[in-house]
Amino acid sequence: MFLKLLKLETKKALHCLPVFFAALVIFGVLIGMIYSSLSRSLYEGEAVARATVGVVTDESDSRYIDMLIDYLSGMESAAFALDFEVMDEEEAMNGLNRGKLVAVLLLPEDTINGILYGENFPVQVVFSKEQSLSNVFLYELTHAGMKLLSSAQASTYAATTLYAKAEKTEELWDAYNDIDMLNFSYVLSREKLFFTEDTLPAIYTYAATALILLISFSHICFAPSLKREDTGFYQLLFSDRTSPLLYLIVKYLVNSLLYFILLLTGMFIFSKAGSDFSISFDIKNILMILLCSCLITSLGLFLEQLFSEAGAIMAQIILCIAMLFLCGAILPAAFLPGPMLSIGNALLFAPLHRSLAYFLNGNSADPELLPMAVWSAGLFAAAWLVFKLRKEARS
Amino acid sequence: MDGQVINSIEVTGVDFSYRKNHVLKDLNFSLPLGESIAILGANGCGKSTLLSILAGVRHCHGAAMMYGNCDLTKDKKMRSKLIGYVPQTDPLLPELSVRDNLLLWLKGPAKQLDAALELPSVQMLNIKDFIKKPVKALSGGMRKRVSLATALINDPQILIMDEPAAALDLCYKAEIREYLAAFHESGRTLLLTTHDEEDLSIITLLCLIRDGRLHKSSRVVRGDELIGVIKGERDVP
Repeated sequence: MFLKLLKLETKKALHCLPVFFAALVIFGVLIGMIYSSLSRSLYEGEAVARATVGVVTDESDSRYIDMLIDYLSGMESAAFALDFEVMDEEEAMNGLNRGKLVAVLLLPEDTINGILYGENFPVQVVFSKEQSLSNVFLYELTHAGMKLLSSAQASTYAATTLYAKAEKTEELWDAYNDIDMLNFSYVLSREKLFFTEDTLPAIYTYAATALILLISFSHICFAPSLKREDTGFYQLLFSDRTSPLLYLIVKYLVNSLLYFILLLTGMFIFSKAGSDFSISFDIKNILMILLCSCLITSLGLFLEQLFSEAGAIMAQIILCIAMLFLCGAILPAAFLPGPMLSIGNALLFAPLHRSLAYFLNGNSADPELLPMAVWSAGLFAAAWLVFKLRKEARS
Repeated sequence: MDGQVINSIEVTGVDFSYRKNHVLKDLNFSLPLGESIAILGANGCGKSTLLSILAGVRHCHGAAMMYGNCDLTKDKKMRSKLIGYVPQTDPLLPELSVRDNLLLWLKGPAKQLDAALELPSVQMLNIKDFIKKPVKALSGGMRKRVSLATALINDPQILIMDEPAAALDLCYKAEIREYLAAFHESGRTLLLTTHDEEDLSIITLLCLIRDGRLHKSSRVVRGDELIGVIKGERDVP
C-alpha cells in the first residue's frame, strides 16, 4: 500500500506542476519588480553613484576653507556618498536646479572667524526641491551633523571659558588637543549604536525576502496535493488496514522531495544565469534547500489540515508576510520594537530568511539547519495532531 | 473455508458509545448471506456506526464477527477479501484518473486491473467509458459508480454500502439501485443503510435500530407503518 500511495501521490503532485510554473512566472515577475524597484534603487543604485554638494563662499582663497572642505569630506557619514566642491553661487544654484548637485552650502561672510572665535554665523543649506528618499536622508544627515557640530563646538567653548575662569588661559593651547579627543571619544561611543554586529549587505536581505515570498506563494499551487481528502477516503483506508499517518507521511515526503528538486534546479539555473549572487552548492547549502522544502511543505500540510483549501491558501499568504515582517525581513529590524523582533526571530521564517540571505551571499555563515529541522518536524506533528482531533470530532 | 458451506455471519458483542451517548447496546445478531439487507432507523441511531464496525473502519472492543470458524475482526485479510465497503462520501482522489483510483484499492498488482474490470459486477457499471478521465471531471452519478467499483474490483461476497443514494438526483438513484439489485441477484450479500423508501424495492430483509437495539423485521414494511416503526410508535412486525 505504501508504494501504491507513493506512486499516486507523486502523480497528484506532478499534476500541480503546470499551475506551479505559470504561478512561478507571474509571481516571479511581480516580486522581481517590487524587489528591483525597492531594494536596488534604495540600497544599491544610489550608494554606488556619489553625489556632489556645492560650497559657496566669499573666502575661497582662504586656507581655512580648504581645511573645512577636507574636514567635511573626511567625515565618516559623508565620505561614503558625498563630494564637496567650492563654486560661485550662480553655478551652484544652476547645478542644484539641474539635478547635478544634491545640496548647496552657503557659507556666510566671516564663517571661519566665527568658528574660531565662538560667534554664531549659521550656515545656510539649500536642498533640491525634488522629494526623493535620498533628499530626505541627506536632510536628516545634515541636521544631525549640524547638531553634533554645534554641541561639540559648545563643549569646546565651555572648556575654554572654564580655563579662563580658572585663570589658566596660557595652558589652554596645550589642552585643546585633549579637549578635542575627549569630545570625539564621547561622540564616537554613541555612534557605535548605529552599527550591527552582523553586517550582511541589505541587498542579500531583500533578495532572501523576495525568494521566500516567491517560494511561499508558488508553493500554494501544491495545495490540491496537500489538501485533506474526503472522509470516505480515510474510512476506506482504515478498513484497508492502512494508517492515515502513513498517508500523511507519504504526502509529506513526496511533496517535500518534489519541491526540493524544483528549488534546487531553480537555484542552479539562477546561479548560472549571470546573476549578481555568488551562490555555492556545498552540502550544507543543499541540505538547507532540502529543509526549506520540508519547512514550506509541512506548513502547507498543517494549514491544509486546519482549514479548507481556500482558507489554507489565504492563511499561508498572510502568515508568510506577517512572519517576514516580524523578523525584520520587510522593514529593517531597526524600525521594529524589540519584543516584536524577538517574537519574529523565534518564528519559522527567521532561520529560513537568514539562511537564504547567507546562501545568496556566497555562504559567509553557516545556514541555520537545526531550527529549520525542528520547525519542520513540529509542523508535521501539528498537522497529524489536527488530523487526529478532526477525526475524533467527526466521531 | 475447506468446502464448508457458510450461510451467515454471526455478529456478537457490538457495543459502542460516543462519549456519554450509548448508541449500540451489546448487539448480537446473525447476518444471513445471500440476502439484501437494509438497516433503518432514526437519524443518529447508529446505523452508519454499525456498518463502519462491520467494515472494519471502527474498532469495537469485545465484538466478534464469526464467518464459520474465522473471526473477521481478527483476520483482517479475510475480511477485506470478503467484504467490500462503500462509505457515504466518495472515497476518491479527485485529481487522479478513475484508473488510478481503482488501482489504489485493487488488492493485487496493477496488471490485474484489466481482469478485474471484466468482472460482471464491475462490467455493468460501464466504468471503461471514462476510465482515463480525472474523477473531478465526472458527474455525481459517475462518481458513485466509481466508488462502487472501488469496492467491487476485489470481487467481494458482501457489499456494505452507507446511504447509496445520498446526494444523487432521481435518475442516478435509480441507476445505482439497478446495479445493487444486479449484485444481489448474482447470489451475493448486500447490506446498506438508507433514508430513501425507494431503496426498499431491492431489499429482502429489513433490520431496525431502536434504542440501541437491532430488531429484524419479518417483512419489508413501507409507508406509514415504516415511519411508525422507526419512530417507535409501532412494534417491529
